[in-house]
Amino acid sequence: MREAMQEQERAADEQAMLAASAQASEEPVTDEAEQPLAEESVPAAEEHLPPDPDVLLEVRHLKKYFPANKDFFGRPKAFVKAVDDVSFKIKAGTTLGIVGESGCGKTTLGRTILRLQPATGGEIFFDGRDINTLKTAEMNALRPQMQIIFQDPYSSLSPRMPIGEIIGEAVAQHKLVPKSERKAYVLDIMKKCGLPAHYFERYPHEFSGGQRQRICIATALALKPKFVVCDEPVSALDVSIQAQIINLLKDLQEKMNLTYIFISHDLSVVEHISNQVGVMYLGSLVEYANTGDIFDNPMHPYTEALFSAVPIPDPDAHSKRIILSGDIPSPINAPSGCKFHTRCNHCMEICKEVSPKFRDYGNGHMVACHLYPQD
Amino acid sequence: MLFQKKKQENATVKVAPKGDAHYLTAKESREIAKSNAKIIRELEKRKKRHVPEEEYLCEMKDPQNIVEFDDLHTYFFTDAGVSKAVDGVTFSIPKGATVGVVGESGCGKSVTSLSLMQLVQAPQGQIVSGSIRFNMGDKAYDIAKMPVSEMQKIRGKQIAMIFQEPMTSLNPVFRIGYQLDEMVLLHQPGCTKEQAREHSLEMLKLVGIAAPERVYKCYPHELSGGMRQRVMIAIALSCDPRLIIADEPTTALDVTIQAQILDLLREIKEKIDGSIMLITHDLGVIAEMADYVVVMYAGRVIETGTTEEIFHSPLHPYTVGLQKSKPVVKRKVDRLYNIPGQVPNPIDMPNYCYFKERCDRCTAKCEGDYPHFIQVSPTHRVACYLYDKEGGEPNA
Amino acid sequence: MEEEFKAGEIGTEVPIIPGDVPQPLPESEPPHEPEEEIHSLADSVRSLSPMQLVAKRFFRSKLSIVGLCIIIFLFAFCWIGPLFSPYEEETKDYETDRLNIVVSAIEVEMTDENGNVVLDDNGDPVVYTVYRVQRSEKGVDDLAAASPEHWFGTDKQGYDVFTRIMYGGRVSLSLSLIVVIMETILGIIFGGLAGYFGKWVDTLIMRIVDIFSCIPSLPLLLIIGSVLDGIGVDVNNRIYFMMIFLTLFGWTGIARIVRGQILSLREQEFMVSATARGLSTPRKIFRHLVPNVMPQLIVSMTLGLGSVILTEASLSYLGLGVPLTKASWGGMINDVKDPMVLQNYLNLWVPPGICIVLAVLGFNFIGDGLRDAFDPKSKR
Repeated sequence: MREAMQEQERAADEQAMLAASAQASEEPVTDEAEQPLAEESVPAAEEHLPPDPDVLLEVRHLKKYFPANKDFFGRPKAFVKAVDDVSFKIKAGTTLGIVGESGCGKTTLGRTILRLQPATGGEIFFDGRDINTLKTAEMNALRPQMQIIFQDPYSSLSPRMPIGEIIGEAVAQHKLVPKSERKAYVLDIMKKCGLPAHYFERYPHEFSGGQRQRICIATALALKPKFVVCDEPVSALDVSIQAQIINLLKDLQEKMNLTYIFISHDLSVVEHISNQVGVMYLGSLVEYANTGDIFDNPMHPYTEALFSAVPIPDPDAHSKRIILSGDIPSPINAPSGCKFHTRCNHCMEICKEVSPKFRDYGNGHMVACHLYPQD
Repeated sequence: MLFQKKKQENATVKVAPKGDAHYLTAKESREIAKSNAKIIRELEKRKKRHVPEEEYLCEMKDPQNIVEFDDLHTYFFTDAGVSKAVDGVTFSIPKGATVGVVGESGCGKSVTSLSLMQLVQAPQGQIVSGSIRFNMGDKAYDIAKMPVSEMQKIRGKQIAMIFQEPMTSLNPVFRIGYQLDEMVLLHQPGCTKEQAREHSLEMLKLVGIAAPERVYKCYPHELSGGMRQRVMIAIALSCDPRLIIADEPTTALDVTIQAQILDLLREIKEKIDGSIMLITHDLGVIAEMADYVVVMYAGRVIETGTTEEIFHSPLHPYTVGLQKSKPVVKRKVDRLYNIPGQVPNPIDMPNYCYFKERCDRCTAKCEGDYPHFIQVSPTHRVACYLYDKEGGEPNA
Repeated sequence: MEEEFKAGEIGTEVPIIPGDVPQPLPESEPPHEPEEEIHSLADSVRSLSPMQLVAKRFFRSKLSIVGLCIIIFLFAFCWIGPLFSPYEEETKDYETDRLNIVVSAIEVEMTDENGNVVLDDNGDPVVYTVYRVQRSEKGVDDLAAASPEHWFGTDKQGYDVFTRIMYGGRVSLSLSLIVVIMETILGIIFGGLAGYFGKWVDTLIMRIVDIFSCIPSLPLLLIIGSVLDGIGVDVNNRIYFMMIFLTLFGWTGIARIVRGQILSLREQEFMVSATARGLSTPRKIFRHLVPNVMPQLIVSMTLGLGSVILTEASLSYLGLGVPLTKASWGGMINDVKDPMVLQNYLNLWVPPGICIVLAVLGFNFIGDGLRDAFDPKSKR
């Protein structure tokens, strides 16, 4: 009882302190790094640093190729273009939803943005800094600000560590909180994520999927991130638990002013949580727009088919379904021209040869399709 | 440690929690292991003995039904206690209809279908009581009592199953053709290899595979997920089954592929005039495919009805919550409704409505025994006190 | 493991119990009283702690219990047994009731009454052999049969076999323990480096491992044994050299296991998550990777103990192990080299042989039991 009181007080103190220290620790870092970077990248790229202070993350022409089919000497003969020339911007405090089918590169995109895998090309500006150019130590110092939540809550928790330690270890590593207050801080985060305090000593295997996902969220948010990549965070969960986790993510976003990239194959969830939606097909964005625009007026034939394929839980709603023929082609030898032309119902001759430009058709609605004027 | 042993129907060890009661003590777990071993031994013995046909011959309640589950109990004897995965399930599958079984993970929907195939993982998993009546046309068998040797004649031939994971349910070392032919040769004695091949190709064509000859010669790894699921369906169809159990047939597939497979299943049902038992957690799939819906929660059926009834006038608070908690495209809500709490694990369940503590429409009556079914319309039944008009005793 | 662990599904954050006392919690109150929590349905199921789970699966198999009993018995026998034995490891047994008759032959030239040597026909002196039969009070009681004093008799040197088995067991068991621990340390370091860093580090270490594992160890050990003899290493230190060489030839297996495990663990999402949280490399290795490799390591260590005992026995049998005056199970079997012992004195070599078999079996049973216990997929 008394302990709990103390914890509460401590937690409250800590909040204030943390907020102060987080800001203090941030600023010198950005200052240091921005100087050389600005000099370097301005002449190199024709685009300059994102001028808009609202934009937390900007991705420009990001590419991630995996070598496939190595020849005898280990030199790659072909590449899997998991992410192929993807560009977008995310404003602070908003959510970008990325939808696409399996193998479209959405998971790779999320991991490449966090530099969990080195990018093959392109730039990722986080808070005005190109994270691809950072040194390992600098990157590690930046890591707490950009976090990731994984799809499978079973494999994303180290099985032989109690919950409290899992949540607290990175806090200790980055010295976000003084040692004496660490436990109270962790308990506070756990409470925010809906985890009772007595889970502190328990091991991950004792929890169900939903609880584990809460633990994963707590682990990520304990680092006071600004930006979180949610990689299919609810796909492995039951429907009633999905709603809990989505609500939790939304609440935390409001409370902590978080910015999300929400990767999912579930369109209804993406529609619910996102401000902008990007549709990926075989490593490229085919359409990108505000959520309302893209759902009311899907322009790309793939988006249209994807949206119509979602089963609606209403026996009377027999919407016109566009059934795509065939499967997603292998990303090793992606089709030439428009990558979608092999399955497209509106395929024209030009689609087979020329890849369409990713153009803005008003109100930030970007589409890459030959059905719309290219110039 | 205080603990009281409560002899229920199957000597479940009931333990009074005290202190940090999260972990079982060594003594308790020994107790559980002992009682489990005893029960399993008895049940396995019962399975081994020779059963004459009269014992499992039975009468269908309604000859129009293909399968009738009657108070089925399938338990798992785990280290933590007896898990009542299926605890008194009663519903039936009419001829030529698609029955959707919907529920969250661990609600017993898959175990119900495995019980029907006698594929529950023994020795922990056992059908403890109840009956599954299967209509063979001229006669009916009680699958719960059938010996394994007889069951093998039904599996695959009369009842076929399509699994969730098309990646792992085909044997990777054999060609598709071989696996298809095998099925035909096994269940249709006297069939030559040529005929089997003929039949297999026909099946592949039936499931919408454009180049059956090519696929016939392929190994499973050469096909995509959607193609493999088509092949699985072809294998399931190759013996003209009366019933197809589709256990989450599209969960592992992408939305566009899912649309193809659902289309195919619908088409095929019309062609072969069989019944489908469709198990899924996706209400959208159910709405699109099923004629009747069975909603399960923690091992029990809580609501059954036609698809229209379940989707337009859901009664049980869980069914309502389930429908509200799933966001729907183009139906904007600010905040999703969520059912609080977690899905319970059906071990040592108390005798009151299992949904009580997650329910926001709880009344004083809910303190009573587990609610019985209330018939709302000829097809619509619900197990909830909210609709108990008589207001009488909970045991009524 | 998931299936098994699902048993432990727990926790609602807000138990809605209408019947509960509507007592408004003050801010200072801990958010959830454990007592309250337990009434919630989802939390009512109690699970086993991780160690309990392993122990439970381990003791479920009868063989592993048998193995554990054997090993406990052997350890008790070897370390506690000698306290009750009247003999020491190197006491030759002189005190005995057995009639020790010493026969000595003396050649005597035959003389006549005058003391002249009697010559035979060839002119050579005639020689008699006189046998002197004496009864000695204190003789070495060698090759004694089993008796209440010497349960397994005595060996050629007159040592008590039963006592020697206990002392021999100390050598064999502790040697194998030390060797296995050293092998594991080497294996973790090299396997861990190879698995974690990959690329050229991996290639280099794994090629070294390959080289080590294609050296035929027994002939090499034989050569090393004679070299050690040749350069005059103190016989009492030979055992340490033996440990070192056994370790050098044994670590490769463990290094392979560790590397394989770490390679697969590295791809797990919790490792990606550790990177995303910017954890330091030592922490990732020692807090995240090594604890997850431990189960497999413990299993292979237990199985390794048996095989080291066998190797030690064969080396001692070949005369390369511990010095003769010291006992070891393998060395004791060495006596079989004498066909007479092999045929007539079963009591000298069968008991240590049985001990070796028991020890190896015991360790293997335990190892198998542990493997099943740690294996998350084992359902039984």
